[in-house]
Amino acid sequence: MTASDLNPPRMARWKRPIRAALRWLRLRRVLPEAPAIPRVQVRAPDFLKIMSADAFLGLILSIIPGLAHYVDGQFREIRWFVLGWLLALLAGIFFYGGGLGFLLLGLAVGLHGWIAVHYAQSKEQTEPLEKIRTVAMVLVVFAFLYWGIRAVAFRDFVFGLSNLAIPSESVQVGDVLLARHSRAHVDKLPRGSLILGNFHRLYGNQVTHDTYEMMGQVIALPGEKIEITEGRFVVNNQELDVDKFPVPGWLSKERLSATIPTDSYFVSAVYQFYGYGMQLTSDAIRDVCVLKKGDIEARAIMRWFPLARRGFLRADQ
Amino acid sequence: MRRFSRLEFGDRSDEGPGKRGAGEEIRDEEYFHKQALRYLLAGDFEVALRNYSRALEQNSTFYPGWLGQVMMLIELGEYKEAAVWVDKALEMFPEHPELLATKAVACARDGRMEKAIAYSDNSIAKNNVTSRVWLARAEVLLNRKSNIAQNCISKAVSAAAGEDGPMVRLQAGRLLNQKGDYAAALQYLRTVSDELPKSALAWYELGRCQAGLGRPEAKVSFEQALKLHPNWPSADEALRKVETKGFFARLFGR
Repeated sequence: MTASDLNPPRMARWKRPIRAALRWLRLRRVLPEAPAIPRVQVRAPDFLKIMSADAFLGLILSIIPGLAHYVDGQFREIRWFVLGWLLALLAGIFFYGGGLGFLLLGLAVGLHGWIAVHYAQSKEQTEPLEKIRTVAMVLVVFAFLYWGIRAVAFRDFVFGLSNLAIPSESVQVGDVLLARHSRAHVDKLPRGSLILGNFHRLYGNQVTHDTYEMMGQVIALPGEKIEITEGRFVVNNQELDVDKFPVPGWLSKERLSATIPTDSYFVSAVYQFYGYGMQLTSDAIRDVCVLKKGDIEARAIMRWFPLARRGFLRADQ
Repeated sequence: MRRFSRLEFGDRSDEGPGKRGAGEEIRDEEYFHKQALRYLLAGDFEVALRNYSRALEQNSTFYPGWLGQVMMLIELGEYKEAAVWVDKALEMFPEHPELLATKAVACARDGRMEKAIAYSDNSIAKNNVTSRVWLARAEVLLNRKSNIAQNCISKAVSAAAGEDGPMVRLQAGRLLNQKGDYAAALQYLRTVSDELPKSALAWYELGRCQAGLGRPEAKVSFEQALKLHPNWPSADEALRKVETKGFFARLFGR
């Protein structure tokens, strides 16, 4: 008989409270003694047999890095890796959107996977091939997990590239802005807000159905009267500060006078239109610059890149 | 001479390969069994389990080793593992009544009363029913709040008149303690603490019993247990509880 035949199986520490709870329920007849549904014996595929049920459940617990080790009283062994993971994750989020950010997030995924695999391998895995297969499997699963978490936790956030320079907001052309989807925000946008919207293309003086996503600045609110005179926006007969509300080059030589419908905003942006050198009509400008609330996707809240100018945008003008 | 009277309760750190002297015992299964019992009586079930395993490494057909392993797993609250391991032991000792009874205890403590009764019935139906089988029967029936349990305990104690007597009385006392019958437990545990004065477990159980009855001697018993097994968390906590018991708790505890 081998040593493993003479040493009894042991219960993982994390199972203790779960079993105690189930026992408590059984003793009070809340749970049946035998499972109500006959247990179905499922034969696990061979590639999954590289680890025991304990190791597998440890991997599941390790979705929170270090939890399986903590429950099993082995946290000390991986504490530096957990710290490293946390730092890589935070730095990855800080630099998110750039190459360094992706590198750091990849490092965080790798460290997280290693922590989980360490637990599984500390249980019974010794063969190098088994180790490699487990590491590969765990890394793939964790990469999907991180992707899923990003998609769920940050589903309201989107990046947009500014094509306007707004001196008062320290926003320059080419800056990456972080915007947030929010219907409530869209309904009550203050003047000067930077938004990400779906704009229609102009073909000559005709609006097409073709749309594209772009950042723009809210100039006039629903119901207000807007005019463009001498390269300045005039709203309700009040001239707006050009530092806060700059007029894009293509509009600066145009003249416009319009009242904004109650379901729309006047948004200034660097529009794309076909027919270079053509004189735009007032109607064409109105058609393209007056954006319905439904076409507004998100409102910019932060200057994200470049890092030197990272900061929150002012909520109100 | 009784088996337990030969046990040594000296410094627990004096064992180990470096300490082997000229007249030291041979480290066979009996040696490790004795060590296991020593740790069991000190309330250190983890080390006792390890010693039972080492006894089996010396002799894989050593029955007390298998039984001891299962009992320690039960003491450690690992009932499912105990049930698995008792099945393995039963492969080697088929239909052994003590193993069946031990499985009944594992099932009972795991809240699987129907299984527990079935295994207990099976064990009791065998020819050579020992005190351990009666104790297991008592535990299963106590869980079902049956009055027959007391008779089973009496049978267990009388069946173990020989060298296993103190151990069976200790187990009987622990069982009654566990079920809250402190008055009945006290009579067994007082005797056991006289018979095994160097057993921390016996003093601890006596202390629990006295604390349950609201007696001030509980503190002395727990202190004695801690003297024999320093830094034992269970005894430490029990002593702390006794010492910090408020006026009303003491009043209503009486």
